[in-house]
Amino acid sequence: MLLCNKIDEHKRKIYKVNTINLIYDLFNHMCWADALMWESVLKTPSAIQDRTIFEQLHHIHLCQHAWLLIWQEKAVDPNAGTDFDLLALKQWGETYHKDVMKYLASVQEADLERLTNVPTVDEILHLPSLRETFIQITTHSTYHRGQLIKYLRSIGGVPSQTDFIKWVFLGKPMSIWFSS
Amino acid sequence: MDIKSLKELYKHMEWADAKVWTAVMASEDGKIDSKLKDYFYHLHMVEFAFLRLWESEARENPYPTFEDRKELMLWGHSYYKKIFEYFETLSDEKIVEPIIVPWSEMIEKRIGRAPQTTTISETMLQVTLHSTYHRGQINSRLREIGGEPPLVDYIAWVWLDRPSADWPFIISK
Repeated sequence: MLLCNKIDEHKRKIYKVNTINLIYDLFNHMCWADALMWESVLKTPSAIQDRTIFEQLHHIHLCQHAWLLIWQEKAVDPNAGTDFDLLALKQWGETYHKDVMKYLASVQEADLERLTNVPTVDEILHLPSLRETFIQITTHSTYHRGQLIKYLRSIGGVPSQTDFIKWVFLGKPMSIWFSS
Repeated sequence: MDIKSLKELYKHMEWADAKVWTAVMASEDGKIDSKLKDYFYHLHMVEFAFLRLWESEARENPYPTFEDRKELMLWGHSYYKKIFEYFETLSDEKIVEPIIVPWSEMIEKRIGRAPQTTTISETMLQVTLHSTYHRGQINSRLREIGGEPPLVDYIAWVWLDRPSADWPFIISK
């Protein structure tokens, strides 16, 4: 199923040299890379029942959902998704990417420097801008994807390469979410 | 893409690289772990490789190799002076220019088709994401061998008001 790269081309052309292009690239790449990561997991029999794999995937998608809720000023459930099985977790991750693309389509360049209030975070800390929270969640996913891939290899998996530059060289393809 | 966002990503990258080096050098097992050394070498070599590309430096020149972890760390540290000097030569207009990647034949073999055109800014973003990815693996390995991986999230750097990097063994000017 194709989900990502829904940011319309018209908007891309309007914003040639600006930050929103960076944000679109980061999220579209994240969707593509998450889909490849899931494909690698589901093609590795030893990963299907592995608790570490589940916990790492859950952490990635829990944080993705949490930030989307924060941007929409909705309550965050820190335990969301803990009772899912692996396929339900995959569906949750896939749905996130559809939802976040819809949200991003509503964001304008002028919104990016708006400060974002993060519930439960110590008030003495500096507030991030919306732009910085976008960078946070996409780099957070990259960081934990690296850890998951390392672990997957250790249990016999043969993960796909998910480098940003590979996605660029391939022409920034849409994501294909693997169905087992 | 704009240069301000890219520069912030590189400032965070330096802060985060310095944090993980500090944690590894504080770990007796971390200091001698060959896997950690390999991860760091790969991370820094890719940082330098793209800088060579942007500065049109010969790709064939061999990279230094290191037995000593501290020397490897100092090599990684030396990158940041060069990259921030390079930033001074850039503009928003310059970074969206296409760039020819000299290893495109290798890429073609790997992806099965001629690579699409890329820009300076996309290759600059690649470096920060690549380092983030492998920094995650470094922290994971450090935990495996009993070390204490530091928090290196981008948002943590923002919450702390974007501090400068604090490298071990190096006195900041």
